Amino acid sequence: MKILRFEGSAHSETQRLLPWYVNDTLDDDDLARVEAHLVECGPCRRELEFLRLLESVCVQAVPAPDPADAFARLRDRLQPTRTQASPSPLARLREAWGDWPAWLRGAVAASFVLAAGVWGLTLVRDEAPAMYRTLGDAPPDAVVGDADLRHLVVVFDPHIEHARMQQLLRASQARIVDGPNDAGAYVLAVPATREASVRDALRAAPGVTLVESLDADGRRR
Amino acid sequence: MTAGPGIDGEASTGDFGEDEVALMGRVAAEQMDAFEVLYRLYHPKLTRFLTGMTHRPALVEEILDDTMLVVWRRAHTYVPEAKVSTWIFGIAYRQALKALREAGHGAPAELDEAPLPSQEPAPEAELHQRDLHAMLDQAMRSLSAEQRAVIELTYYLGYACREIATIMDCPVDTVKTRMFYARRRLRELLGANREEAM
Repeated sequence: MKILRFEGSAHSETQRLLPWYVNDTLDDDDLARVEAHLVECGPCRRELEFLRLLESVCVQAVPAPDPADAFARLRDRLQPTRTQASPSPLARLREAWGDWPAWLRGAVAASFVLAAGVWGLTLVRDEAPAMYRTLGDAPPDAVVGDADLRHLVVVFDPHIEHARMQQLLRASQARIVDGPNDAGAYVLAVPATREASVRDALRAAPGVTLVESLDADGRRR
Repeated sequence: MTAGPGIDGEASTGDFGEDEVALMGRVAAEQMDAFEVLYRLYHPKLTRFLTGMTHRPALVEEILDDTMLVVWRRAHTYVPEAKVSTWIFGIAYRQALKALREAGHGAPAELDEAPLPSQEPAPEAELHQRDLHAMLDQAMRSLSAEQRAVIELTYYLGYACREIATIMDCPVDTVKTRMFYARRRLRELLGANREEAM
């Protein structure tokens, strides 16, 4: 198909813009240009009538099947893909987390912090200088110094695709400032104003196992 | 002047009362109830668009399902810079082209498959609006799927030219060219006598 170039006279400009004059989506400049030309051009006014007729044909409804039945069929197609891979123990833990009583969640969280701390101490003693950071470690000084940033510890599912992880980071406008450590944990820097929304969004995203906020001292909040 | 249901309701899902971008976020989090809301919201619009674009009613249901399957599986790749509707209709457009190719319907339908009403001149008084509608509807069958898609996206869904270029993943001038040839072809098919009557 030969691509036409539409620059030129007011007439050809109007001809090219008329379809979108009819559906009312021209910007102000184009709208003014078309309206000025229509006043003085009979062929363009006839073309306008033709396009309005075309529009009137297009807006006619067609019978649509019941979406409830159609959705039920589609859902049946989706189910097998959901059951092929059973969720990881971490994913099951994350799913069940919300249903646990507060005291139990607190106990588990405290155990996790303790375990992370012990693990961090081990790294410091055995492998100095440490290449890893514990979940309780403070982010690098250069980052902590920026008062407009907050930090999140994020653990991704080990099976997450790289592209998916990148997409999550882009969508969050988050920057990796540290990690990953052995547990696959990253420290992300996010604008302070977006901390809560990014944290909630990541928690809701598939492929993310754990998200926690860090305070200025590098402790989880 | 806006035609059809348009896309002005993009920001909200109407009766469902939820922002479409937020809804997509929940679909990306694999929440089936959110996906059902999205499906019900887009089912009528996709049915209409795919029917108009393909003129193959038997294929519409399958293409629609394939489209929503892609939406479900690829929801995490949606970026909020684009409108949800633009993203979904872009998927539908590509799925429709693929289905037409596989069904051997890549080329425009033959006119003898869906013959136009007689081209014999008729008295203008007898040329009612209903006849024009019927003739135009038939004439649309002679266009390519891409040309019909431009017309449907413009006049049923009310998209601006630039948005259509995004959906069809092509330059703006290509959209204008498709529309130009489509209009010219429709005028030819309707004949000079009927054109005068308009």
